[in-house]
Amino acid sequence: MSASGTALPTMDATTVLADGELRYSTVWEDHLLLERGLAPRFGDDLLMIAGAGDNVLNLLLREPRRIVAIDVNPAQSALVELKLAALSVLEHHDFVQLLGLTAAEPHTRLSQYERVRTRLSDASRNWWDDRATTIADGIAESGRLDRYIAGFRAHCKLSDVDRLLSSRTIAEQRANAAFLFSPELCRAFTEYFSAENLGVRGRDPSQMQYVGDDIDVTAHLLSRLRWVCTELPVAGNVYVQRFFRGVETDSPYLRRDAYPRLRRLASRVEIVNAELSEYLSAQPAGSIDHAGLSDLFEYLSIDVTAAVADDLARVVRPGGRIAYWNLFVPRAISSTSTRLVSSRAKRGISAQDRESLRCASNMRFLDSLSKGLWASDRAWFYRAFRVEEVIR
Amino acid sequence: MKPLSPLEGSAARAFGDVDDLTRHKIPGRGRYDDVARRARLDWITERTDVSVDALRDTRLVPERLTSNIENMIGAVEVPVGLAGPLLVHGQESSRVVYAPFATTEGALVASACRGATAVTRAGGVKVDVLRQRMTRAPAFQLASRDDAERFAAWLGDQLETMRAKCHDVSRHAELLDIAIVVDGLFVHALFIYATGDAAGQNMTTATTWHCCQWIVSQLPTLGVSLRRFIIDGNMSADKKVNLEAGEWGRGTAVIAECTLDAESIVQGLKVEPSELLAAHRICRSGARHARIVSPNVNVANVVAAIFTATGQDIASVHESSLGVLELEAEGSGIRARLFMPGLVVGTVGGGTHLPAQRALLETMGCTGEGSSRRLAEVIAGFCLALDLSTLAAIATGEFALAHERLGRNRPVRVFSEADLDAGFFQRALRESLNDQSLEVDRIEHLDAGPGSSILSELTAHRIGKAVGLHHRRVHHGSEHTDIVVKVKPLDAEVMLVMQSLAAACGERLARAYAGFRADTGFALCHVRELAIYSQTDPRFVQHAPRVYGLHRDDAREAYVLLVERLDDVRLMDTADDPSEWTSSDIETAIRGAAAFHSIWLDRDEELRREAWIGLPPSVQSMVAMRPLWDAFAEHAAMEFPSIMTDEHLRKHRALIDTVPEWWGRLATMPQTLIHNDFNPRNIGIRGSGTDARLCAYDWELATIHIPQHDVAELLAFVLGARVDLCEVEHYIELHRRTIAEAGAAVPGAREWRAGFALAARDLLINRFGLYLMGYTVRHWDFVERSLATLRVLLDLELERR
Repeated sequence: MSASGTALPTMDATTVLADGELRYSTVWEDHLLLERGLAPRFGDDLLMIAGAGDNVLNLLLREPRRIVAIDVNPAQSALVELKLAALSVLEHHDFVQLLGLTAAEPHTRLSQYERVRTRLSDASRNWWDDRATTIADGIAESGRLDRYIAGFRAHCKLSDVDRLLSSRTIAEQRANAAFLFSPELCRAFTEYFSAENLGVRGRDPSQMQYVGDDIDVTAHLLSRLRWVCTELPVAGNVYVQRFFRGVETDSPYLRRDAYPRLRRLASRVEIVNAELSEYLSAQPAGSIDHAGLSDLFEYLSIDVTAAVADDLARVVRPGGRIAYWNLFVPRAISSTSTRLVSSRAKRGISAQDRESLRCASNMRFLDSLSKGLWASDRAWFYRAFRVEEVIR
Repeated sequence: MKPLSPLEGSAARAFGDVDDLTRHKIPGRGRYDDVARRARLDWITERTDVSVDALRDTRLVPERLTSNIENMIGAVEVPVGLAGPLLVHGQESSRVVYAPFATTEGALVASACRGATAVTRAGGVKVDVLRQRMTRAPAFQLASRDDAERFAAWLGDQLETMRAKCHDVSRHAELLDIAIVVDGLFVHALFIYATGDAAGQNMTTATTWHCCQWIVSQLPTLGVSLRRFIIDGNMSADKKVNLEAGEWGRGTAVIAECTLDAESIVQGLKVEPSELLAAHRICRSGARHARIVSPNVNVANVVAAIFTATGQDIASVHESSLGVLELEAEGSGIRARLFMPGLVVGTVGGGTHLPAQRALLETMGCTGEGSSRRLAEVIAGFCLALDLSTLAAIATGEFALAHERLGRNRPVRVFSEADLDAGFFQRALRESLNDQSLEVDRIEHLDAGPGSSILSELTAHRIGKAVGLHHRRVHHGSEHTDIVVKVKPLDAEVMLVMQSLAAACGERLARAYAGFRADTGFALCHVRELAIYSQTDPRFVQHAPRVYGLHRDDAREAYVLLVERLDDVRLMDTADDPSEWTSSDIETAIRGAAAFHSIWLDRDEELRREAWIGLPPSVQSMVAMRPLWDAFAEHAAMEFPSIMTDEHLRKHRALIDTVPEWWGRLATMPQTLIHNDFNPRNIGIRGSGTDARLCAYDWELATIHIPQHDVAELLAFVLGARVDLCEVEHYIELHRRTIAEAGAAVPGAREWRAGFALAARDLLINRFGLYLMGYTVRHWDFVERSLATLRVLLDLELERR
């Protein structure tokens, strides 16, 4: 649930998301879906929405040639920059402490930050210098969404959570989930994660403006949470663990044994603080192998979505893949563009429309892959995961 | 004589002084013997400095080819494939036919087989020969238009006389009609014949010539003045595509028709009937805009292939390939009809008497009386079958899915055989033999031995690289070293080849595979095998081929292994017939596997951080890939109903549905680096008795999994269907104990057996799904047998014992 990215009229989600508030301190998107959906090869060039940078770093371990980590929000860019800088000067133990993933005294974190800050750009250094308290308290749960989710934990009975998370088989999980998902918990969930609360406390109302009547947001979230707790093994599910227990250190990029390699690869990440459409328009055709776009299209109007889709079909090479989630808004970039163009076509096809039509027809929805991956999504929030392939 | 233009460059060197043409005449003119043939071969070799050794040997007897060829130097071989079965309901009888296709167009025969099988399954194709015609069109130029009109009127009354004249020359050519066209001073007379079992071009030339001699002799009496006569003024359209053939008739006119029920279409052609009809409508529209004379999909492919194989006049392929394909809905299925107005075929004369061509005609029952008609029936039947199959491929996008190409954004100077030079081997041997003074003197090509992997087999020659195994004897000093060079394809290239296999299995599987193809174990296979072979742990080294070098050059897409030639390894390539595997050999293989399994057991986290290992299977990936497992199973049930019965499919689906449960359990068990292709295609045994030792090669699919996976695969391949429970338990326990003896911590026997059973489930839905996909286009003897054994192993329910 972390994305921000492209040009819109005033006070739309993109503008709001660029306000410099840290929206996400962790990424709530299953990295395995991106890894399997994009299937990057050694030496590929990837474009990814940066968010909190977790998946940028997880995919970095697949050794692409370059990852462009783009975000419209300078706060998110500052966080990714901090992680990369910390990688280069801190040992693993200090790295996870600074991020607030393991316990540490506030002054320890501040002194760790001191060692890192000289490596930050002016903008990011200024941003973090103004937030010494956040650093001292631990960054891990400082994002707006992360704080909101953390607030729900007071409603969960710790012993029930522990019992569920220690289940060894699906059968055990189902039995243990029955305890956890008591009527009281479900009521609390429904109240806490109401659409209104979600829009105001977890996200921003502008991020919810395209949510239609076809979905009961709260019921959807609850049923997916039940689903992930009863249909997929919770063992190794970092997203469920983080939801119920707070921080986790099992994501690939956080593991100690991956740290030396991650450090070696860190220079391959290029941070871009810009709107996606602005960035894409300046890129040569076929210059990106794959793109991971979070749930970006959730916040965009259908017109802007279509424009971005057309740019992507140009910039991503044939055979390259584009992966993204739908949280509450069903958006498909391959069909969006075609539909728009056909409505324009009624008024006569302009040269620009013809180009759009060409781009739209150059994208193929990989439906088995997308549905299969969605059915294994350990970060359960979403209503769809889509992988499109650019074709000749 | 007009001097020829001066020649330049290499042409000048070859031909020298062009004014002296006697030096340029081909030797042995008019001679039909093998001495003359070889003399001509030597002569052209000498003049052009090009070796034509490939033509030196031929089974054809030059002396028998006097009416077929002049200046013969040899014969070119065109591969012939067998297409069918096709149930043909002809005018005389109904029969199942297999047709020989001489072609170098890949996928043509396979597609024709698919179409023919679908048509046969639906009840066969009904073929009617409407007529058989051959034409000649002599032309007369008269002195005036009056003369032309008078001559034409007179000629129109001479049909009976002409018929009699024809009988003087041929018993087979029956003159049916003469169509006369006056064009100013020219009079064209189209002689229309029936010619029996001959195509009749030569026969009708003779009869028409005879008639015309008489006609010309009559003209003075008639009082018209003839300026010129030629035997054919082109109105016969001989060997030219023309619109008139349908009306006048030329060759054999045939109509082939079949009705396919929806089930046959979906199962056989992997397409919905509505999609097939929709694609046909679009193709007809395109044909109109392209002004295509006779709209069909690709009948010329069949015409050319069968013409070539059966000694027909290949120059008539284009006029014979006229054909109008019609499709219409019939209930929930379709009715398809193909009208071919002018198939120029015969079963006597031309090349039909050559030995191979004759034999192939005989295999189709196309010799003897009425055989020309039967041949036309077969050709039209296969034309319809192929058109349906190709149209289905177009409708489902299979074309695109089968013909994807690897996108490269830069030109690559790929590694080629020329790179396997002395310097290449010298660098490798100096390093591996630890002798910096070693000098490679020469390199000798050796015949390919056993040991090619399925991947090498499928990818070699398909991607334009030196991919595959190259056997070399490298001489250095007084010694030599025999080396197998394995040049690996890129993972992406392997995946595209696999994608083309998937495409042959229909749209659903092709689409499912397209999504997950990076996840079926092939991702990074090109770098993984190099990484595996760079291991130095003796538990690995002792059970793998000796490595002489690893060469990796990303810029040139070179991923090359130099390993020993496995001349002393027994039981290689015995997957199709494992009868020589004794229980002692199986134990040796299991001990070897246990040795390399023990290296990484429970240290798999260390391996997972290596980028080359890729993404090993996990409960999540197995859950995510359920659409692919489903597609594999359903394809197998449709394509091989005897191998995947309804009951098998039910059990199979139950396993797929419960993946989170049982793979979840599997994921909690100790994992290690496994070979993951551990069967007698990729392993063998060195030595015997107490010295016996496993040799496992082809490690490209190696991954992280529970070690029992390798043993389950091995037992599925080497045990017969009558599996003995005690024997199986013995092997499983031997594996566990040997790993434990190597110092690795292993669970108890019961848990270990359960792991074996879960690994067998994994093999069934995953690897054997892949095998059955490939089995659609490639027969392997091992598939049915090993699958049956695997199912028996599953039925033992070892996870409960």
